[in-house]
Amino acid sequence: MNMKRIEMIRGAKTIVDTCARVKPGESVLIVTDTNLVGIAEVLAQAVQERDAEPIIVVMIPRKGHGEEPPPAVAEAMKKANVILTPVSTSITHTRSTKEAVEAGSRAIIMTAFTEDLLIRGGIQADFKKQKPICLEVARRFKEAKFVKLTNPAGTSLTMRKEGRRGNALYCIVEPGEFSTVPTIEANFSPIEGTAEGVIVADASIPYLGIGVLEEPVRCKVEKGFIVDIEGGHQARTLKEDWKTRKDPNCYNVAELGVGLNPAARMTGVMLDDEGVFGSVHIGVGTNITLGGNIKAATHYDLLMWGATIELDGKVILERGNLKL
Amino acid sequence: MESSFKEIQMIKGSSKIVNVLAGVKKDEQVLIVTDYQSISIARSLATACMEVGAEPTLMIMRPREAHGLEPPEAVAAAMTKADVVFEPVSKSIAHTSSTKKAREAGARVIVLPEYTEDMLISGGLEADFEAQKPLCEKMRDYLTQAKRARVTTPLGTDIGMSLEGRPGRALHGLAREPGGYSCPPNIEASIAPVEGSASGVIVADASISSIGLLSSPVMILVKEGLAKEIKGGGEAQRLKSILESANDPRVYNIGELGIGLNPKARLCGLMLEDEGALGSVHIALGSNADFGGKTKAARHIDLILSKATLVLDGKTVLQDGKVVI
Repeated sequence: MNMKRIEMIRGAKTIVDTCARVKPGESVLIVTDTNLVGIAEVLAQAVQERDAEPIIVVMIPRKGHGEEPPPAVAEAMKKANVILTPVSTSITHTRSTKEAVEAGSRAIIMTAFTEDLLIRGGIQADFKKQKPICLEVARRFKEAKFVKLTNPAGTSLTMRKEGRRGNALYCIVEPGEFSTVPTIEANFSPIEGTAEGVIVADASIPYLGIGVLEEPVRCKVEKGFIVDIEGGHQARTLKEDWKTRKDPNCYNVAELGVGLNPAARMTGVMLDDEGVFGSVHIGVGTNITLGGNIKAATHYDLLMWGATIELDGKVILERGNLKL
Repeated sequence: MESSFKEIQMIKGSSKIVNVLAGVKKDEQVLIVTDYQSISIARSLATACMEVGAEPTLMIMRPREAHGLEPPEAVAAAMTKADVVFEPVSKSIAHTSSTKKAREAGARVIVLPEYTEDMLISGGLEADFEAQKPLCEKMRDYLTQAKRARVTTPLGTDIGMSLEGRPGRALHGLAREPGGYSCPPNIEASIAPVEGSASGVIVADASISSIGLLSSPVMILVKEGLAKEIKGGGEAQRLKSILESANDPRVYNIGELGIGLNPKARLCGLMLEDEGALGSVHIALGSNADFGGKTKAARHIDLILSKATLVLDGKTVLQDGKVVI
């Protein structure tokens, strides 16, 4: 018996009651894979407490992040009021998720979720309180045309984004929306082909078992794509993975996001890391769910500390401090 | 999902369902619809699917409140997108429009209501389903061609009915073609008698659906196609109250005549084993709209008779529980 489940119920209730706002009688599809069934079961308990109908879908783990779920699962996702996705490999940036949300589902993304994420860290944040801050950053992103990103480790990246939306992920969803949990972040997808410069990730790359970075990973960017990767063994892990994908779109600079969850910690787990207040991440690969046009085999995030973001010359984040 | 060593024994049965009955092939999409009471069966079937390189997906729902109720809409939608659907559930969804639509969409559906771990280990599932198929189809053809049937048993059953114009069906357990259907380990040939035509006495001595094995015979007097009177001990009383609680006069309809044709199935109180037991006869009360009849009732309750003799248009096809065709 896994006694840890007793502790997990509080986080599960936050997700069901505060984030997904499940109502009695609603159908809640919990899409999981064979690695994370325990988390799915605790979520189902919280759904049951709400007098809603939990359905647990257990699939074989996808081979890579961004791979579509089986067609039967995709079809089921379109028919649920709420979708919760504790999966070990991400289905966030898939057509299935996009179509389910377009069909009116409320989706809470829980990729690579851990039992600990349900117990402490970002899940303890006051999501309602952070919502207006998140919406404001997203609004600023929406209005910006030209974006410059720097950090003390050597990042210097410019990109254009006129016409692209700003996305606010604050863990509370309306019909037709999805959000990750417990990350709170605002992000946008730059126009393909416009990013130029250098990304130096010095915080975390929460994929492929890399996690918190021991030494910086430096990526050179030309015409919107990463063209060179330098660093230690963690950089090599990333480089090797991309090489095996044989998909040039995997190198696309897809996203710039800023973390806005005061309770999140940098632990090497994506959903907590991306939310760390004042941290910045560059997403690389697929961007179709963020407002872009590229579907790639993967979507990885490169996280950095102490970043400064300028929107059309105006600083909104200065060395990790929000300046609204 | 805690570990269970019993699953080591169950894998052979699961493998048989997956490979022989459903003919699951590499890379096929297999949806396993289950509920909290049948998880171990579902997991064992999924394991067998992995072995052949197919992709199993489990959908775990709350047990339905009664047999015959629809699964949630999301589950029904998923069922139309799979090559094969297994339904190990504690409350049957076999006779639902969800299952019907899945078959119409081309899925091979294998229903496993109230399936137990033991049924995967021994019993009817050990039969050679391919070998029984010709006999099952032959019996179906006899039923299709017959105009009248008469069933008698040593304990006093003597009932006649018209089968005229009704098609027989062969449930041989194999569901390898798109839209196929199987309810293992049952192997039976059966038919929906003409409504209003049955008349006589049924003495059920083996088992009854939702009651189980009988400790004493249950006698049912039949007139004009309907069960009019039920006599016997405690189990007769239970049958009466089950029928009364359905609140539907159509549950008294003589809805089915079937012959079990699985030599490995045992009379054990589990309906899919009992109906299939070689040489047993079942006469059901209630629904038959699924297989050529006109009655859609709130219940379908099988009465199982042993050592029966079945005569079709004067020709004996079953003699004291032995198939003689």
